[in-house]
Amino acid sequence: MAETHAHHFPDAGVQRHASLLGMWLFLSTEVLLFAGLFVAYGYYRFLFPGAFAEGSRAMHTWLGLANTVVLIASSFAVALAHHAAGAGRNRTTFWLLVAALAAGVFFLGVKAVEYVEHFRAGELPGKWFTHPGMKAPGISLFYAVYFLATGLHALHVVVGMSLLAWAAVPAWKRRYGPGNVGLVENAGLYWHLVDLVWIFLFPLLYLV
Amino acid sequence: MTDHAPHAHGSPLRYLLVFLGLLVLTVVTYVTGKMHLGGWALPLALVIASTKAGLVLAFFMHLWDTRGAPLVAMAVSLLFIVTLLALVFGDVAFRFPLARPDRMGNYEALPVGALLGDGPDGHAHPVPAKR
Repeated sequence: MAETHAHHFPDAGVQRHASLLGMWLFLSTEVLLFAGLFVAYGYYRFLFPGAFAEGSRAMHTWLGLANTVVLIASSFAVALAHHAAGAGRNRTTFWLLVAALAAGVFFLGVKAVEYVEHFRAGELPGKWFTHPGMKAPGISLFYAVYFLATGLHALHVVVGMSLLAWAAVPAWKRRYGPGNVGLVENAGLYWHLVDLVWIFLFPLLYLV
Repeated sequence: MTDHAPHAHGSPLRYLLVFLGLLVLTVVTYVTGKMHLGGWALPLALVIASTKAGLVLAFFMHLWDTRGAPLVAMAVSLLFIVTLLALVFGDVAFRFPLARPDRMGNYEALPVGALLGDGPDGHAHPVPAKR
């Protein structure tokens, strides 16, 4: 078991506390970043309820549902990967992280299919909105919120996948063990946050 | 050396139960979302989503077994979200109707007497108050 810590920490335990606190502080700023978009959603929905009803009716609910299930499953895989890393089972950790990465690829693929359809149908924000059938006042605002929220989330999926790939390297080299799981733990926390944001986006944009 | 390190407290069984719980809640939110519950749809969806978020935070992210500073960081974050929501909705809900983006130009939505006269061009020309 490889247990290392930087010289300015008294021991690995203190280092791990500091690393976790830093990650949680970062995650709370991420939550606030998305909170701004959720407040924008609430604000425009309050002003233009008809537009948000019409917009969410036009969404492919099945695609959103599939993506929700896939993201939850990938979060489950990452939680298990963290657990396996702590037990020194590096092969298991590696393949669980690969499974989570595959889920991320699936998610982005579905999102890309949806985006292409929105572009073809002219369901776009602001002055680019050209869909002839949707007349509800404020409908282009629904798509502004939709593209900003899902776009920022998709960006986070890409970053999260990069972190998971990075965390898979020590697993491949069999470096994880008891007391040495910091990388897979923090990458996992980020991935869970990505899942968390989607848990709210799915019902708000696709269902209600 | 790792005696006082924050160990991962999850067990695979606990993760599996949380995963199944999340799946069930996803199905519930999908089915109730398709039922068109009117005014109850949004609060119900938010309650379900918050429950799912709580499960992820508590067990996948181990906040349940965490003590101290990380909890404070998340609590402060949530406090700021509530503050932001309260101020924004306090503003938009009690604003003078014509200052709302959705009511601009829609004089029929105004209470009787809010405007004192309409100009020939269709735009409002409020009559100045008499001195």
